[in-house]
Amino acid sequence: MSFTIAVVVHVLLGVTGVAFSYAVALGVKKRVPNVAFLKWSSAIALISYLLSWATGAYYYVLNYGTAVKPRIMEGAYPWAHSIFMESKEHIFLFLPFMALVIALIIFVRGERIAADVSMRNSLFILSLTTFFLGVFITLSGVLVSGAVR
Amino acid sequence: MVYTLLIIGHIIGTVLGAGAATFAEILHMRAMRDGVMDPEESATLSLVYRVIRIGLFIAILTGFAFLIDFRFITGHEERLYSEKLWAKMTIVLLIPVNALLLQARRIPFWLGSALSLTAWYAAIVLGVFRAIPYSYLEIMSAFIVAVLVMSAILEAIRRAYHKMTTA
Repeated sequence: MSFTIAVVVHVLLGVTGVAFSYAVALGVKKRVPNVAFLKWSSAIALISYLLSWATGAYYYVLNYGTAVKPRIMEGAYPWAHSIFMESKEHIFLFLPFMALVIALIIFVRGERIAADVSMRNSLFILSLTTFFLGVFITLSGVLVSGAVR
Repeated sequence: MVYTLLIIGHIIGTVLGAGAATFAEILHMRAMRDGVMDPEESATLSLVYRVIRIGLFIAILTGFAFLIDFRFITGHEERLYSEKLWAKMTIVLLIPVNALLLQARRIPFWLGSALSLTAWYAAIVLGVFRAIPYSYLEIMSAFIVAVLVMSAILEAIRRAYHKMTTA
C-alpha cells in the first residue's frame, strides 16, 4: 500500500469515526433514543477508529519517522511535531477503547438507555469526550501536515 | 477528475446543509405559529435536521479530502496554515457543537438558530472568496457580529410572521 493511500484512508476513516461519535452523542440525547441507530453508529465509530489506527500506524512507522519528522524538525514549525504529534500519538489511543466501551454499553444494555437517565448521561459525556478528543486529534493532524515544507 | 468530483461533492454537501438549515428555520417558524408543534410538524423538522447532518458530513469529508490534496498531491502545505482555513474550520465545528447544545437545551433557541444559519452562510462566503486578506481574529469577530445581526433579523421576521398569521 502506498503511503499516500494509507494517509488518505487514515484521515477519512478518522473523520468518519469522529462524525459517528458525534452521532452517538446526539442520538443519546434524543427524547426517545433510537437504539438501532445507536448500535450502527457506535459500531461504525469503533471500526473506523480501529482501521484509522492501523493505516496511521503503517504510515507513521514506515514513513513519518524517517522521511517526514526530520523535515518538520528542521523547518519553521518544529512545535507541530514536538507538541501536536507527540500529543496526538498518545491521546489517540483513548479513542478506539472509548469507542469500544460505548459500543459495548449500547449493544449489551441498549434497551435500558431510554429509561436509565444516569446511564444515558454517562454515555452522553463519554461520547462527547470521544468526539472532542477526535476533533483535537484531527486538527493536530492538519497542523502536522502543514508543517511539512 | 478526482478534484472535480471533490468540488462537486463539497458543493452538494454545503448546499444540502445551508438549504436545509434555511428550511429548518422557515418550517420551525411555521410550526410554532400557534405555539405548539404537532407530531407531523415535528417529523418534518426531524427529516430536515437529518438532511443538515448528511450535508455537514459530506462537506467535512470532502473538505478534509482537499486538505489531503494540498499535502500529498499539489504540495500546497502552506495553505494548511491559512488563517482563513482555520476560521472556516472553527465556524464549521460550531455547527455540530451548536446542534448538540440545542439538543441538550443548553443554548437559547434564538441564539442557536441564528448561529446555525450564520455558520452555514459564513462557510459558503469563506469558501467562495478564496483570498480574503483578514486575520483569524478579524474573521471570527465579524462572524460574532453577523450572528447577532442574524438573530435580530430572525426575531423581526418571527414577529412579523406571527402578526400576519394571527391577524
